[in-house]
Amino acid sequence: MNSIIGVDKLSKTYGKDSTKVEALREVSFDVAQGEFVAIVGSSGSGKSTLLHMLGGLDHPTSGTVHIDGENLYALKERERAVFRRRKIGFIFQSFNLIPVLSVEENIQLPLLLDHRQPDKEYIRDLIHTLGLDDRRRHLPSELSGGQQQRVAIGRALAYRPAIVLADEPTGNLDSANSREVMELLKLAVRQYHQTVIVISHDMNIAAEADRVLRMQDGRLVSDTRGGNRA
Amino acid sequence: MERLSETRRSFGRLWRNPGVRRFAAICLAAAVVLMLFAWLYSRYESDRLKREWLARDERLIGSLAAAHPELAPELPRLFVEDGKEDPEARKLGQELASRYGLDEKADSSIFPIVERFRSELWIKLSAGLGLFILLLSLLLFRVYASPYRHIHRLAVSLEKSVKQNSPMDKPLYEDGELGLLSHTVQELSLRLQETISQLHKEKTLLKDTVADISHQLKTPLTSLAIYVELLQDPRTSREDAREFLETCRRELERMEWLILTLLKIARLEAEALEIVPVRAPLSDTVEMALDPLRSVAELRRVRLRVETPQEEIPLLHDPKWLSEALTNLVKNAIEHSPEGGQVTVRTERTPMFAHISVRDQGEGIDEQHLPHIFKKFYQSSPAGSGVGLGLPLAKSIVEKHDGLLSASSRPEEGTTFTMTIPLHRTLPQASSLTNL
Repeated sequence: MNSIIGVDKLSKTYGKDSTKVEALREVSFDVAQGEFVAIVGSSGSGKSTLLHMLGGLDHPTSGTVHIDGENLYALKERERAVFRRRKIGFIFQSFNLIPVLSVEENIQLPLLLDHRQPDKEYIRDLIHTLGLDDRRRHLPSELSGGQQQRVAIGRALAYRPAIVLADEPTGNLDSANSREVMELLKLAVRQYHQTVIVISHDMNIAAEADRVLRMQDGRLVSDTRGGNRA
Repeated sequence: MERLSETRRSFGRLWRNPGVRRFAAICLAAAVVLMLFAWLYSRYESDRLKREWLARDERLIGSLAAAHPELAPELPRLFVEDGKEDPEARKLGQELASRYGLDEKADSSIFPIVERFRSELWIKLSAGLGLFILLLSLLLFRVYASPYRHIHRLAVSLEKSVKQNSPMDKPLYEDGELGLLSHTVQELSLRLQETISQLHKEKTLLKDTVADISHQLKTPLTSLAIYVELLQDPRTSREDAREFLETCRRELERMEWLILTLLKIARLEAEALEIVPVRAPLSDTVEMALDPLRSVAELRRVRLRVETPQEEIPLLHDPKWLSEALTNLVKNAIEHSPEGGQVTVRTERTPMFAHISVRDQGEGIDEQHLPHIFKKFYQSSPAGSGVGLGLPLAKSIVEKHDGLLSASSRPEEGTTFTMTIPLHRTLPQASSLTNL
């Protein structure tokens, strides 16, 4: 399979001289399309920085990130914003839903931002799959954590981006909801040929992935394939 | 998928196009510049006119004063108070002037000021406006040509993608219709490539399957042929013949199962056999799956335990097929269980999924085998009696239900297979194109 993400000697340094922090040190790896990758490591190992770089949310100090053949940091700021909206779905630990919008509106948001008329049927199907039928008009504050994360996943799937980046998606959830979130992501990988990268410090979550990248002190220290997926 | 509704012509939509915005900005700037120039120019021209007018008035006053010195103090006042409307004076003036052909019909060449004003205004205005329009059209041409440049780039990269069978590169990452078009075209090229690689994969799979089948069938066929030959031999004793016949029967049963299962998988994968989902209680399906296995379990002294929640789980599924998948998993679990062991079938419901897990207390599956156990004809250990088709069949069936079948294992602790089936239908289909 062709690689959809290519990271080459990616480095990120914050601060200068005595306060210098090397968050990433020459990290290189490729991800094939349709892979489900987990990035693990203790806090401060650089895994969040790496995910932000993959998503075009932060500038690297050196090195390149290619997504779908496009050098992410060679694009202009405005182009990168559009690229991000169309190609990458984000899921955060803290859900990041818009509090004044309903479940349905939150899910449609990426489409509305692009001035595309959401296909009502598709959105309804999506909400149905997420088990949120009776919550579609509710505000995020009226939902449980598990439900909120499902809305966030729905939002990440609405544009059917090629890549889904999830930063500790189960960090605020109990184990039953965590499993649910991971299974939903796995289904999405299969159904939409998406590539998913999940950050987690929970090894049970990471064990669900096709491939586990382990970070330590800003370096990639191991890359294991296998896991229990067929 | 989202619709690019063609019917809605909102201004906001149009405004998202960078070309439209640039066009509007240029027009606005041009209008402002034009107004500014018009103001400055009209001031300049009126100043000039004023000077010429003054010179004429001064000349008139001078020559009138020289001819009629007694009127001299009065004359400038008359010129200043020119503004006052006096119909009688005007009439007198008109009469006097027309005697010298000085009226509205007169050629403007006898009004030198007007004549100069007109010719200069014409030259300056036409030169100025012409230059302005030229500059404006140069600016607007860039806006006008930009979409064509983008379309050309799109066409070139699309051609490249067609020739090399690769996804289209360098799409336009911008808002507006061109950006959307390029995004959609790239999506199309991606889907096409996916479809092609899927076709290649399936072709390889088919080749492998055919090779596997012929290999799997050749062995029992060869042994059957040998046994039949032996049976035909008059020297074979009755006792041996009975044993050979028994072996033949076993081989035939194995072949029958093999062929039937392969056919099922092939039909499922080729969508020749559709599952018929009905909303039915999951516990009934579990019972249906376990029934044919009770005697086998008893024979091997394996206890079958079912753990279901109090509340029934209504699940949209095909009970016949799903129970078949479960039967295969449980059968596999029984075969890998030690004598006196226990196989636990557990159903569980979470907000989005129904989970059915089958846990055995067997030797577990080695980590290196785990990723391959769902492949056809893969055998991780000689313990299983099957030919390595039960798990692939179960996986095909679960995937037909848009679910996941996963296995986790700890050595010495046993293996757990888990079916995860969405409660509320599946994720909406991405496209029928990629789902061959």
